[in-house]
Amino acid sequence: MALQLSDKSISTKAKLEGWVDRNLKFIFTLPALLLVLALIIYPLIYTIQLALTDASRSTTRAKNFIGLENFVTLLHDTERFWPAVGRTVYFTGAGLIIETVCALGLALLLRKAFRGQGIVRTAILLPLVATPVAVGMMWMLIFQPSIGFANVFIEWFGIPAQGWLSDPGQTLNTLIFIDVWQWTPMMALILLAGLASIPEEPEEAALVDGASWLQRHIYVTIPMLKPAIFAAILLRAIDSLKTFDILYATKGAGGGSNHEAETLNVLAYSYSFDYQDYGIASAVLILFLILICGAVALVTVASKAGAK
Amino acid sequence: MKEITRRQSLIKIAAAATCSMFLLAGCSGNTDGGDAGSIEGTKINVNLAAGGWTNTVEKLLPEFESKTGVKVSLNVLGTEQLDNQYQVKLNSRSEDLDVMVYRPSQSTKLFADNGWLEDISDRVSGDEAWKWTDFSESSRAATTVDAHAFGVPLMTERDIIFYNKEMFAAKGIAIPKTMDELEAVAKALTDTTSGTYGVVMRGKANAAVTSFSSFLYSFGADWITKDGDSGIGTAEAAAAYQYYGDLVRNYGPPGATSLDGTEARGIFQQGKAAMYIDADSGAGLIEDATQSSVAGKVGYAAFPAGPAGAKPYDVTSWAAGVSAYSKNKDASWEFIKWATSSEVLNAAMSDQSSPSPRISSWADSAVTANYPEELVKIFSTYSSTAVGHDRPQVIQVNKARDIVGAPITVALEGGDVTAAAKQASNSFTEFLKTDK
Repeated sequence: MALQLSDKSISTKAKLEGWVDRNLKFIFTLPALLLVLALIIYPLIYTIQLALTDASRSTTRAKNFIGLENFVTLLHDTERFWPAVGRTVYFTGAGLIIETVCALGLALLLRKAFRGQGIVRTAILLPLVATPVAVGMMWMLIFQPSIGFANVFIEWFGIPAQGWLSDPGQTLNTLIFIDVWQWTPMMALILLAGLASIPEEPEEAALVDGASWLQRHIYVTIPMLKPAIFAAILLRAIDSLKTFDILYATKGAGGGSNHEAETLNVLAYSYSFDYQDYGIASAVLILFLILICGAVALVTVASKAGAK
Repeated sequence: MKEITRRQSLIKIAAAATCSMFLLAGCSGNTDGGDAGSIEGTKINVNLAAGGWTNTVEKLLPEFESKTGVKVSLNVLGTEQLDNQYQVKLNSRSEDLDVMVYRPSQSTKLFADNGWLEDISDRVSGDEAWKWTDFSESSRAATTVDAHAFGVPLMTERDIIFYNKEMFAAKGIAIPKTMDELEAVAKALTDTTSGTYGVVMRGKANAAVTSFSSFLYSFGADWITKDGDSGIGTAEAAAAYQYYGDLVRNYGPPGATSLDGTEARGIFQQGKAAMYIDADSGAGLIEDATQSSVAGKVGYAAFPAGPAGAKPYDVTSWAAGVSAYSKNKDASWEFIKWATSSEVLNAAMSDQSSPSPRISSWADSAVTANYPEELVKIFSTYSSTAVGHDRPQVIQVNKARDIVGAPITVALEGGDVTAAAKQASNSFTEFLKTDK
């Protein structure tokens, strides 16, 4: 009897070991999977569920299922929603174009070895490591129309004082300037890494063939750098679409008196934390997610087309 | 060889089990807490906003802890961060909030409606020595909904004129007593070439609602009529919007639509404006020489009279309540009782210029000795004329503030105020139908 039991226990153990061996990859990935489920999938499903209700004031109150009504309301809202979509696209688009051009120029400048290269490379990284809220506060002081330095500076050149962040017409462009100041170095770094991996022979060949500096860059260097450029654009586009900290630190909830800095992120924040309208805030976030996915797909397709 | 494989298998099983256990441990909640008979040894979390009263509480806290044996953890945050934290934690029924310091005019109705605040009616009326009736009637009303008390007032504030005595003396100008005089004085003290302005006030639509409210009342209007309808569609309201916009646009610093309370005060603190019209609770910061270049040179005057007389706001700006999800309600109440006792509120008023909600504080010369004399006088004159709210008294206050604040922006930008007020009034009427 004892022998039988022992045999049984050995066979159970062997079975368990066999099972563990077969499923080892799942067992080890289980904690990570559960974390992803808990931190990404669950909130996403909860957000979708909230977006289909009229949840307001508190999420613990009774709420009614209203189907797609929140989405319909938003898609018909030309006062807050569509202008916010426009601002999100403009802020990201304009920022990306300027950042890509500046970063490319910066990377090409920093490519060749020169004295003090280490110091310069470290210095351009400084905006990147600064806390976004602190950056926002700093620029807010600089752009303050009565006591800020920006107006003093431009007056040295005879340019009249500007409203900057406090002028609804200039707010978004001023914010794009801050974004460019902070994030161009990161893109430049990615492009610099890309440049380092490019073989030198094609460029040398172009030089021997008599190509000018401009021709070498336009026809040889930049086409070879395309994968790095697309990678940098993709990373920056996703991050830029989601920008919240600088906008909130400089203009507060609602994006200013005329909602002049209200992007989709800021709008969702206003609806949830200011208005306690959690249903419609969730709907904004779902539509925003769709926009981000669309943008990523667009850049990926463009990148593949560019690679062909 | 087989031995090694078996050991490897065991290690694998153990590793997988450990990973899962860590994860489960991370998911488990804190099951600590529960009211015991005595509060001694209880730990409570108090969330509060930075400012005068908080400084006093931080300073005197060891007294309370040694007396009661309650361990208090203070979590000091900015106003908006405090609001956000309440929403996040209370929406998830978090038990780690015990005492909640909040803005009654902004949150009492919402928090009470959501069931987030504990009804403390019995507790406030149950202690004769602590004396609930010593709190002014309007401040008690601010924390009460349908005869149920949800909080204890901590600080009050009134709309007043802060003025730069040097600028007034340099031109020999008298303090304005009416709206016409206010405009004339602002005009006379504005000098754009030297970058000094007659008056600075909030201009950012949502934030400006409170400072605009005194103008609205003094022109004979209110946010909501007695019948519960929108009150901002009237000719009086339009005149008030127009006046406020013209005053700030013509005699205030540029970029008015982006000025909130802190920025407007900063401009006055730097000596760039002759007058600053806002809550008297800002006096402590304006008289703080480490951050204000006008400290010691500031005078205080009562709000000027409009067509309907002088009707500034006089409100309870902060209160403390007990979270409905707290497991330590007795200890939380003991803390609130101590922190709103005459001793603590008097100390906050005399050391930190934090205006007390207790009537006895203002009658005590030992307390008012360190407090600007003009402010004590203003307090006594306001009791009969002032209005007890500085924003629409609704449940979703910020939503209402955005609606009724929109015409302020239009007025500041020199647009069609009457049309903007009409449009805002229609939106406000729609809003009021849902805010029940």
